[in-house]
Amino acid sequence: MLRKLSYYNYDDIKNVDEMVDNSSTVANHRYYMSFNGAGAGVRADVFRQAGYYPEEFFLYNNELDTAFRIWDAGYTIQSFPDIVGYHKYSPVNRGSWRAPFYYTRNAFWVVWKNYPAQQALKHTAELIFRCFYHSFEQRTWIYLRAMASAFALIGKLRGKRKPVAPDIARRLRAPININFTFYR
Amino acid sequence: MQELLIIRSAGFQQLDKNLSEIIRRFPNHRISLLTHEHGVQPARKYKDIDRIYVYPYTEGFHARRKVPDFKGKPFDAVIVLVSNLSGSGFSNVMRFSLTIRAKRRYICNLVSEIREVTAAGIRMKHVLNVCFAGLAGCATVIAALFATAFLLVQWKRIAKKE
Repeated sequence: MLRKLSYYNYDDIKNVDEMVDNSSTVANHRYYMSFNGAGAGVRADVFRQAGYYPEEFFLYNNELDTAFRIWDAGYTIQSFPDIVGYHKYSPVNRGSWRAPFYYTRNAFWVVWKNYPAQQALKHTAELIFRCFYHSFEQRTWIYLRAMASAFALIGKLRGKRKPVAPDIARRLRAPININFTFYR
Repeated sequence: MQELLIIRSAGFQQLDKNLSEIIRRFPNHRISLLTHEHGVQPARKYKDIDRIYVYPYTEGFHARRKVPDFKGKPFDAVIVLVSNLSGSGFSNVMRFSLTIRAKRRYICNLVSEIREVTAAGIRMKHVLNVCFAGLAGCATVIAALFATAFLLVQWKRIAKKE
C-alpha cells in the first residue's frame, strides 16, 4: 500500500527575508567538499578546463571524480544553502542493483584515477575490506561483483590517471564508503 | 517537553521526508539535530528543529569520536536515520548512539518507518559484525597482495600522458 507522501516539505522552511551568511560556504571549512549532481551548477569554463564527467563511469560517483579535477585545477566548489534544489526519488525504495554496483566499482576507479600512489593503495585495501565485510553483513554478492568488475575493466582508465596535489587528496572529503549503505 | 535527538546519518533529502513522520510519532518532543559542519546551514532552515549540534569531526560517526556537548546531556529519544530499509551498514552510527545518554533509541529508514532498537541489540549486532570483520580482514590480506601487485603493473598503463 502506498502512503501519501510529501516531497516538498522543504517549502515549509523558515526562509523569509533570510540573510545569507557566506561563512557557510565550504571554502571556509577545514575540508573541501564534492558536489551532488542532482542539484548543482557548474560553469562551462570549469568543465572545459578540469574535464567533463567521466564517460567510463556510466552512473554514480562521476561528480566525485570531477570534483577532484575541479579542485586540482584551482577552482573551488561551494555550497549555497539559500538555493534549494528538488530531486525526487522513489518513496518506496525500489530495490536496484545498479546503485551499489556502480557506486562501488566507480569508487575504486575514483581512487585509482585521482589519489597519489600510496594513498591509492591504502584506499584500495580499505575498499576491498569493505566489499568483503558488507557482503557478509548484507548477504549479497553485489559488492564483490563490483570489485571484480573494477579490476577486470581497468583498461577503461587507460591514459586517465592523474594524481591530484597532495593537499587536495588530503582535504577533499571523499565519502567512498557511502555506497555500502544503499542496499537492503 | 521531552528531548529528541536526530542523528543526521542520511541526506537532507531523506531528513526532509522523515521529519514529518518523526513529528507525528513523537508529539511534545523538542527536536535537536546532530550533523557534520557542512550540514549546519541547511539544517537551520527547518523550523521544527530547535537546536543543532555540530559533529566536530570530518569523518563519519563513530563510538570513539564522541560529542563533548553531549556529556551529561540526557535525551528521551535518539533517532538514527538510515538510508536503506534494514539499517545495515549503519552499525557505526548505532554504536555511536550508545555514547549518548538516551532512554530509547530508534532507527528511521528511507520510507520513514521508525522502529525501536535496544542497546543490547546494538551490542549483539556489533559482536556479529566483529566476526564478519575478522573474516573480511583475512580475505582482504590475501586479496590486497594480489591487488597491489596488479595495480603497480597497471599504474603506467592508466597514467595520463602529459
